[in-house]
Amino acid sequence: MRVLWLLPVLLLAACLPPRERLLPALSLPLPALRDFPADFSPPRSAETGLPMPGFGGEPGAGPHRTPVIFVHGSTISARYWLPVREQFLKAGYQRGELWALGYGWDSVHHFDSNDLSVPSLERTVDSVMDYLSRKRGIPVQQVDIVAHSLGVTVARQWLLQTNSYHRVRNFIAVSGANHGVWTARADPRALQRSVSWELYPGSPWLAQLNRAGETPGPTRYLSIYDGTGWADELFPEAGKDSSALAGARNLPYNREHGTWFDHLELPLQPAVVAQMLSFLREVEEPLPQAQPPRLRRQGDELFSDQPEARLHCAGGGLYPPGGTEGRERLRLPPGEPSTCYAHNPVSGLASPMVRLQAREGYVPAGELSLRAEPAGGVFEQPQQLHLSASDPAALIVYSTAGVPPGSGSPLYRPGQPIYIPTPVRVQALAISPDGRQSKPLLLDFDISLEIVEARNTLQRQFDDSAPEQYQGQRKKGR
Amino acid sequence: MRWLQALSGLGLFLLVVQSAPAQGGILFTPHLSEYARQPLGTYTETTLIFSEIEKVYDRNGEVVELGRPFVPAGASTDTALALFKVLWVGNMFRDSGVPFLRDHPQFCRVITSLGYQQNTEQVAERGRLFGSQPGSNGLGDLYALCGIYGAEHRWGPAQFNGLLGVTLKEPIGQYDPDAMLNIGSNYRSVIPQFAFHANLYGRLLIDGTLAYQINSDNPNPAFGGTTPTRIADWFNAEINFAWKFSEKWFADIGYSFHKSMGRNHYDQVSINFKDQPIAPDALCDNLGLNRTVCDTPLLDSFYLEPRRGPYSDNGVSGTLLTAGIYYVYRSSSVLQLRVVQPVAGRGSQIDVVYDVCATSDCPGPPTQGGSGQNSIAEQVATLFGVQEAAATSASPYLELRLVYLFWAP
Repeated sequence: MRVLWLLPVLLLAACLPPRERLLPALSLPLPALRDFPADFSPPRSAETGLPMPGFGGEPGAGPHRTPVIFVHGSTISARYWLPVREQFLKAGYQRGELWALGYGWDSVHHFDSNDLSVPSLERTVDSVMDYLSRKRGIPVQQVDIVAHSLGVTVARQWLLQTNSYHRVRNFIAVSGANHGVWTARADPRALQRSVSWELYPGSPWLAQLNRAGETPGPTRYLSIYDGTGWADELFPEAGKDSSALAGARNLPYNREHGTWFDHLELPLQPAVVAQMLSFLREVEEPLPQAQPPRLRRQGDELFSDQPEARLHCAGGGLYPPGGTEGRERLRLPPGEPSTCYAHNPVSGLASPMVRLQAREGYVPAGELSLRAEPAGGVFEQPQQLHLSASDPAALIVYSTAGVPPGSGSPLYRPGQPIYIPTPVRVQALAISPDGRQSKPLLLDFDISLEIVEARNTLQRQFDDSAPEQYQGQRKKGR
Repeated sequence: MRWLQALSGLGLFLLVVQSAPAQGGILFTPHLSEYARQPLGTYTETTLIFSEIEKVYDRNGEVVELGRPFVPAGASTDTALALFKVLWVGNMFRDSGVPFLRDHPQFCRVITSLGYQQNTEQVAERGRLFGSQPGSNGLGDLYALCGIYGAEHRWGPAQFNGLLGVTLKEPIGQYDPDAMLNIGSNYRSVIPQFAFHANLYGRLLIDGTLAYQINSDNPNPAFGGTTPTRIADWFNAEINFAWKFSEKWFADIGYSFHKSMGRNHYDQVSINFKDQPIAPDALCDNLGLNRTVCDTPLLDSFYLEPRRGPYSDNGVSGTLLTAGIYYVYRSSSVLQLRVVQPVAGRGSQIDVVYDVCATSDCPGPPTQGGSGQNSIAEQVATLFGVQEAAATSASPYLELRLVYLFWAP
């Protein structure tokens, strides 16, 4: 019986926090993949607050390729991409062109979430582009993104919320839950509930992600996935084409090649990596001195500052997809706002997406302001955020990525409230057809598991008047 | 002599009872994807095992009914066992400079149990003749398993991984040397193990293992020394085939085999009637002996004393077939219902020598020939060994299992 002490020790060991928390708390160094150049400072993870682990390299001698940033899936980290980096290196890439930084917790103790991970990806792309621009001596205008699993929807949400389509030349999505995954539920419990609310089939979050178009902007899209309904356990028969993106080059790899690579194997296979490399090589690298085109407006006429650039616009709240014939000049239609960008097919560079309205016939309706319902707060369940502008002709844009919204940010449309399943700061802005902007609205939402626990303590079940002991310091499920 | 044959019979139905399913259910009956490289995390598992042991295997591999012909048909040992398992899968060395280990996840599993074992009434009554308690309940032994996963390989539609592990069994479980039944085993085991998992076409999942169980001695055998004191090592093998009907429904069939590598030894046999001298009438009434034997003047009263040993059996073995269905609920929970049917086996039996005396000082001071001076006769009784090291149940058992991943949706 003397060894009974082993039981609580072992059980306690099983309940230990992830080492991303434990070791720093004990002032111990955290083992992590840190294969970075000495003069590169990895940004801090939005989730852990620690410098992100991962790999990258110093740029070699030119000519330089567009850098590739690999985005891993849930509960793992950048090390997942090490075998793929080796294959890219064999194909001629340099270390300085291949980057992966680990967002999230790297542990199933803390499921990663799309919305919570977007700021980490934003910092990743910014830091890689800044570093390479500094080292190369010329600005790096674009990156290629190769994402897997949760990384696919994280990257797509980042593209949308930060209006970064012009910054991504190629987007390769492997086994993403673009139309949901069966393991996620609409009524999730416990620590994974943020990502579960985001990714259950038919979720409002996915509708938000896909509503304006699944392949917006100048970015080229390749989606690689299982397609058999058996090999990838996350996408059984009913959802075997969940990863496909309308407008992308979709490659149900296992189905087309008679292979059986599972969810984690697929992106690591040499034959699949060869498909990635082939896709990336289909477009020419921009000349070092190339600059992205700019969109110009004269009245309700649109044109670009580069004669070879073409304009792409879409109305009805949609984003203009790539791969279509652009036009040299465009006139904004009255009424509906148009979402536009300019793309130079020679350099491959593009302007940021902007949203514009015709001014013809517009009569300003006083000072522009914005109202929200609910106006932030702490909630147990996901919230539907309704926004309204004092001027009904104004368009409303918002971002949940922690960056100020611009006209190209996601468009709020009446009747389509913003679905907020995770603790985020929503920043919204109203823009009138004549270009005036409202004061930005900042709304903090805490969709908290702790509040559920605080409201349902044993004491409160007996005494409704007992205070909630919620400290507003959300720790779980981050 | 018939009364000694009766003793053997009594011993038969008293001593065959034990929790053979317990050992089987704890370690070596495979489950769906038991040896697959699981996602890193902590899993909990609760298993309920129910068995009504009505039949056991003898040393010839024959199925024997409990207690027959001395108790009515239907006598049994009823066993319920609740297993609690915690499995951790992770990589302590990831991103560290430790070669090999940094690339191979490790796992540890802790298993303990609560058990309940009770004999039916007739069996319990007869057990009291030997001064034993009829049942037991309490904490089971502690199993701690750690190991490392091998790399995953793929050949076309087949995916494969191996693992190496070592289980330590610490005998912390309830153990009463005077009890007929015990939840704990009172000896340590070290069990190195190789296992593999294979996935074919994403639908057929195969798990198998080979393990060698090194058992320590039991210096304090239970129930009159009819548990082995020197326990043979065991060889264990199992294989399981599971079919995936959908992401939520699976079914499997399995095969499990164990065999002792040598003989069990019994060094402290002392099982005897509690109340002596033994009256022939009582013996006849209880054991159904022929009255003419009991009426013999030689049997007016007598004393019995077993020789302590050592005795050896012929080893034990058991072969089980399993069939189960699985339902995956919300990806966080797995519910499983399984039936385990023994199809072959061999139990432990030993031929114990009893001295028969007319006086209570039995067998008395030793003589040159080995038996005591007061021994008027010696008889051999064939007794069954008890406990998991010796008894092999021939009755099926039912297993209800719940696996829960705390953090999954």
